[in-house]
Amino acid sequence: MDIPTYRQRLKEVVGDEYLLTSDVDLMLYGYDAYLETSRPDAVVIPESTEQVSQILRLAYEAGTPVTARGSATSLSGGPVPLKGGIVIHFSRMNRILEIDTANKRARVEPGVVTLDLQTAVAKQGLQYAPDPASQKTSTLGGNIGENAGGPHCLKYGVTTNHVTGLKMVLYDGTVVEIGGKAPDRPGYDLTGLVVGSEGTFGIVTEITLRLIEQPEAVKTLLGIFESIEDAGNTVSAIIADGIVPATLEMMDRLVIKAVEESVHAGYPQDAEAVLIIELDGLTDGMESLAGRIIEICRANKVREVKVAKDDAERNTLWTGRRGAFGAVSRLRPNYMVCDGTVPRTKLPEVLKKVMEIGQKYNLPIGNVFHAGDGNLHPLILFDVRDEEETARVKKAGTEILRLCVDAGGTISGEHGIGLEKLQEMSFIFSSEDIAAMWKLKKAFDPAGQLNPGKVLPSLAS
Amino acid sequence: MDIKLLHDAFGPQMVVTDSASLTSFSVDGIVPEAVIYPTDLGQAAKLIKMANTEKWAVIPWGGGTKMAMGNVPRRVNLVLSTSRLDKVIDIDVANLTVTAQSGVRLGDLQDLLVGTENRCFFPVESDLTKQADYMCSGRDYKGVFLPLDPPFSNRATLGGVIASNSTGPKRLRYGLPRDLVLGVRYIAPTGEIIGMGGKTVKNVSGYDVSKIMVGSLGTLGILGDITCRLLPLPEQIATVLASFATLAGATAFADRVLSSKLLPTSLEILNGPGYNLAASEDLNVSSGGWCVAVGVEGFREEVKREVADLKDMARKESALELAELDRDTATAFWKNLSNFTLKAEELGKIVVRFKGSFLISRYAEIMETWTAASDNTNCALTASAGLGLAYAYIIGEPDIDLENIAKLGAAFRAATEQCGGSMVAECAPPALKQMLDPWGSPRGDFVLMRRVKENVDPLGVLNPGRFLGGL
Repeated sequence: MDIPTYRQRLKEVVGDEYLLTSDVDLMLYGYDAYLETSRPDAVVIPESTEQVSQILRLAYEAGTPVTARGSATSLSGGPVPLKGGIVIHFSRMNRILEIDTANKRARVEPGVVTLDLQTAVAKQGLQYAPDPASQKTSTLGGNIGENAGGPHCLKYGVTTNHVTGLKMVLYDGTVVEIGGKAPDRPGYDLTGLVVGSEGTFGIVTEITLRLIEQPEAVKTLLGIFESIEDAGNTVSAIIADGIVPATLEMMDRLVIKAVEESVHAGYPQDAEAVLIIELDGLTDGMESLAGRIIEICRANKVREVKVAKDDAERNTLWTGRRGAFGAVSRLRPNYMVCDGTVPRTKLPEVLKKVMEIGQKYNLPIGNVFHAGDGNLHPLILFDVRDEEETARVKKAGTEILRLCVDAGGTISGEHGIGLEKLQEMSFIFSSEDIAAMWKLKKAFDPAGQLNPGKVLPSLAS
Repeated sequence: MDIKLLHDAFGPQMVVTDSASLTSFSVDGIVPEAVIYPTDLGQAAKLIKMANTEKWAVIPWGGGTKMAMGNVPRRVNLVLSTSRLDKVIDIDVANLTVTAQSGVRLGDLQDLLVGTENRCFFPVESDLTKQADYMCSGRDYKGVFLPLDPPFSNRATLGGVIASNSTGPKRLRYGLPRDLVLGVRYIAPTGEIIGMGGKTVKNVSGYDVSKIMVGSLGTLGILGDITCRLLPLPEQIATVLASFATLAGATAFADRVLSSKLLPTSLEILNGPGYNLAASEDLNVSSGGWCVAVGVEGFREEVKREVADLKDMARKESALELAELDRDTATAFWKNLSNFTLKAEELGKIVVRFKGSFLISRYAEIMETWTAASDNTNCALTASAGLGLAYAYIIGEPDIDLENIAKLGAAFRAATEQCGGSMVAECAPPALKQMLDPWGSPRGDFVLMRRVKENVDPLGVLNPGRFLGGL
């Protein structure tokens, strides 16, 4: 089936208004927050599972690729339609279908913005724990595609730990329900396999999420340090003391400065590192726990510990963290985030080497990261118009990932493989491991039409 | 099957063929032709490759506590015992991870973790201030633990617990094996050694294959090394037991707890026979009565507050009796509870265990209908409030009327399906499995499960037929 034919048939499915084919539209739906872009042949904006099913059926007949797209905040090229074809945009499937307080579940369509769900469930006294920094923009469909993380994952786990069921359209248009509201459905944990598969297994049209009670109390502390090492040691010492806080987030000097210049979160500009430590749980014992943490900070030469007195102060501290990427982007035209993970105790050592890589390639690097999880995010600043510099950035990025792997970590903590890290997959997986993953991929998508060119390098290489 | 091939490849030390041993490894009454004990993953992989060539059916066997689970296998040639894959590879206390081989017994692993020295780490030195010593936490308790408390922890192996997705009461607070497994190394059904995941909590490199290995009952691979998250041992542990005259009283108390801000580790509701099987003497629970057991763990002040609140709530719901268990007695109580069919099994009795999973708000209804259905049977019932799980245990003499039990199982299943869930016979004699499908009927997504199994195990070498829908 040629492109004009399937465009015509797509129009019959979604209506004239929701099929986009102009040059500008195709350009606009061909990129995300990573460097590379591509162009789809058609963009459709369906409103129901039924329509998605018809689109997939049609794509299967036409033999054309399909790529799902939420808000495209992906940092690894997940929603970039590498091989063209059809992009399904979920902006109309953005309904919260149900907040079931009795069973502690929410059912949502994939286009719901993460923060919108969080706000809605908060009104019922509940919370949806995963909190990616892009939560104001990112969609839940995208979150499950990438298995998104966030600061509170230290205590509560990542997205996959909160997904109990999915409605999914398969490559040929078949609609299946996997998992569900009830726990422990007999059979394979397909939900667990699909979360984080970057849209390469099926197109999810409905998501069932686990909700939890809001904590009785929250306490947020800001530790201000004269060195990255001291802050890193504090992180290890807190865990060694038997305390697993809700978050342990770190920022270094370059990021602190950028944040202060853009959002004024109250971080001292001359500090080498700040640590945001948040505790949540019962009121009882929280005061003494905070006392223990302050003591640990002092033992590790903290300059000052600030304790947020109320919600407003707490929000200010978090505004700085959540706005960090945006703030850094003001310094140079572009930045690239490396998303590697290492065992937490290796962080200070790895960070030091990251800075050496920055010097080696003459590139400024800022660090803002989930220290408690060992998930670092060096931000390499550059100008994409400078081809020579961009080439250096990619080399530095690969070297940083190699560093993470050598320290016992991995090449992606929460941003996914996408098309960014296909090469680096060989750092951690043997060709047999990759072949095993291909077998699973082919069980879901035998024709290879769902988001082709992502996650898995081809077997030949 | 040609035993000589095995002897030639692995030597007589690793291959057992005497009939007494073989009988003790029978699966649903089917006696294997050999039992093999690999001591490393390479040997296990070699065996599986051979099984592919020779078309042998291989049954993985850990502690043997879950062997009555699932369908009667289509074929049994070999049992692969993981009992010599019993090395603990890495306990990384500072990073709260453990890597161990699948044949390590969970109880042994926990003992090792509890005894792990006070948590110290090497501080990273800045060039200016060289320090050479470990830094240690000054806290007055020590150790870490793997937050899993499945039945028969002393006998069950880590691999078996993960492969069967086996959980216990503490799941309420700490989650499932799927939430704790960070990485696995396994032998694929076609004989390759495959590594997935890693040792970091955050990891989205490639597909999350570890997840589908959890609970796949050895049909997609034989687990080799497993890396899991650990937690620091809680400073304080306590349990509150409360007895009630009626189920309504018990569930009213449980609901009160669940809608509070308290964070119980476990919240179990037991009927009279259930409580009495747990062999606790802390309360008197009549056969028509009910007991609610609430476990709490955490920092001292938290636990103190929780215990006080729990007692208060139980009194408000007119509890008949109340007991507070301290660290040691609480630990013993939960252990008894999770092992309570052990004695019966040792006495050679028939043990049937049904597990229902359903919408979490419907547990009272399930307890009610299951109680009514099992009116004439001495059936121990427990429900995990807040989790949407319930278990029924029927213990009888070898000549027990299985047809009646099959009918009861069907009634339990119907009730569970009414509440949006499913029911599995987790432990059943083979004859009962002929009358009642242990898994229930597969649903629409079975088409995917079948394709997954066919793609990774094209010859049906691993555990053929035992899983859902005869996979």
